[in-house]
Amino acid sequence: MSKRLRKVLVANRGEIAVRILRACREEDIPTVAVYSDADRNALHVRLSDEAVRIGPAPASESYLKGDTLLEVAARTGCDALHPGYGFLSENGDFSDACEAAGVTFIGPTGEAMREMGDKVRARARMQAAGVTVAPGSPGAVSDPAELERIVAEIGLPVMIKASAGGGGKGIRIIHAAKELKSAFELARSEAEKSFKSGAVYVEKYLEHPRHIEVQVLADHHGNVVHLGERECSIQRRHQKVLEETPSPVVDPALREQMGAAAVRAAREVGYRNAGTVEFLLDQNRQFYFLEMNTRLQVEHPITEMITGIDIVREQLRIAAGQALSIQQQDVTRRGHSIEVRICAEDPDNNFLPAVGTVKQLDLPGGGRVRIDAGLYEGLRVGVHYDPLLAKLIVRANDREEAIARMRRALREFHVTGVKTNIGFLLRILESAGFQSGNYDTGFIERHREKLFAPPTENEALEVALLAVSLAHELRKLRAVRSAEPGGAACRDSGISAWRRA
Amino acid sequence: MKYFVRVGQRELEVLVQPASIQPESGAESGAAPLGLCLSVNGRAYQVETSAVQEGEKYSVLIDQRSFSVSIDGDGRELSLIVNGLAYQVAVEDERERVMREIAGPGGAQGGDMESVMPGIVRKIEVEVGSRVAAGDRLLILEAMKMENEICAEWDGVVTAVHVSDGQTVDGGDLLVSLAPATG
Repeated sequence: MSKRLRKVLVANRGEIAVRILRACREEDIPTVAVYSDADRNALHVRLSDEAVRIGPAPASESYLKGDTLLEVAARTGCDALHPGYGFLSENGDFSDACEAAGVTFIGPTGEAMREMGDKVRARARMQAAGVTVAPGSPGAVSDPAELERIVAEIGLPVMIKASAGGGGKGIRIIHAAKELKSAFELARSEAEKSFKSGAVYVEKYLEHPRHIEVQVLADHHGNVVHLGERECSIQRRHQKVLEETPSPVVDPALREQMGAAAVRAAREVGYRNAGTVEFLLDQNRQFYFLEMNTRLQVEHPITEMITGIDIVREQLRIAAGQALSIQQQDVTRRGHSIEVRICAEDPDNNFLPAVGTVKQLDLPGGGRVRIDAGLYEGLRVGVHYDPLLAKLIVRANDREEAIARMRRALREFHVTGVKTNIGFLLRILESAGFQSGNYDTGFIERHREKLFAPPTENEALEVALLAVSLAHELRKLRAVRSAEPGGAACRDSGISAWRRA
Repeated sequence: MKYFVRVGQRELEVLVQPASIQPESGAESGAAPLGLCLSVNGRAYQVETSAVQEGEKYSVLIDQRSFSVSIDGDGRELSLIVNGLAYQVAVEDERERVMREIAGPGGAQGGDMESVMPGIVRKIEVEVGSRVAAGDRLLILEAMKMENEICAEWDGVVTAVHVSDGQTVDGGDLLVSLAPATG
């Protein structure tokens, strides 16, 4: 196995493609970007050494086309492929296809992905490795009677989950015994439709757990290290909104336990490269294996910020067959880091994805502020891809300072032309509930009223003064422009000074 | 000029005057007159706007308090981003409100028209026989220190121009007669 990658195909788009390209450039590894018709002007294309068109805008015709990607890799002489997250990153068959084509897949083997991807098998493997899983069925549940038997044992409420599901999809929560039978049938047919497998299993539903995950790195030489936890409990509909590390509730002893469990989990399935073991933590500080994300995680930067370890660089080293640059005892965590996900969506309209063209963009600066984004003025935000516009990440000496820095940075972040969730993120950071650190996955739902409160009287007054002074400016501007020869046509102004006599 | 602003569920009335007519305490004579004086509920605010990028990005000082504001919109429906927070705001000046109220629903197909406000006629752009389409500019009426475009409300032919360049008109004076377009 070579000690250096010759050329890397970055099989992704948006901020994560940019992130990977930057790491490659710093390592002096040539890169090939791929793009769909919607992404010709994208930042990842402009930051690559070579770029190849792979198809029309829909992902199914471009970024999800494994054959096309491997063809591009062969044509451009790439000996490695980084899948990023999403798209083909957790497709075990694609990992296998890469290896078969002589292209190093920068991630785990197909085998390891399949073991972790099948939730029923993963539960069994974790138990074998001595990692606690939530009480539930030992395997897939085949009929309602069996379901009722298990529920009688573990007690309500329970979750019925698709065995092939993940990322929060395919989950049903049942609070009453009489709902069990119909929920079971529904979950089965949903799983069949969404994941092409009707296998479902049941697990005890933890009320208000915290969602805490552990980053691991594993090389080809048997080294597996963990980089500590990330707190990901601020979620909306099972999608993470804000992440921080350290978790406000994890102390060194618990970190050690969770880290050791994550390392055991990775070893159990022969995992290599970067991965994340997700746990649920209940009110008694007992943690349960949830699932393993067999890829680079969106929120990986917060771990980088406090450990000083460049996770993507480690991924490249591992893929090249090199040993990890660090041992467990070298991992030190200093300070506090927070990340928020800035998305093109409309919080006042049920978070529907927003589309548009970015007109004005002001990015925050200052010390210890990091922006991972594919964002630029003129970016067309369409409907084809996920709405993540940018990740804003800060580092500080402690949590309080990190919150203050993030609030400051968010207030500097101006995007026009596309609606974003920046105001909503600020509300979270400004809430007493978040600041106390005492929160769980039910936080956003519980604080809905405060997080979506209308502007206060004073705020409305300020906004009115700003709006009027600027509207006044705009009217003067328009009057001047239209008075010029060949000035703007009236029909744009929507103003008429006429009335019928 | 009075403006009506809607922010969320609230509507506010804001009176706008040039700041120079406000007595400036301690201001050095000869200093450039800055910004506007805005009054809300009897309280006055000195507001100075400076375009960072015209029509897009402004630095605004309200009684010296500094706001970085990005805007998107036509001046009536505005999206504002104020120090990171986004607001949808509707702004209407009194003239626009009056005209919206008079216009009412539906459109007419021809007739005489009169000025709805006092002003000075500038730049008549049509003559008898001119064929115009709805939205075409007919003349400019200078009023309230602003040049207001006077546009055809409907397609038609000019049958009479009742005013001349530089003429002062009152609200209610006839300006132009339009016959409905034929054929």
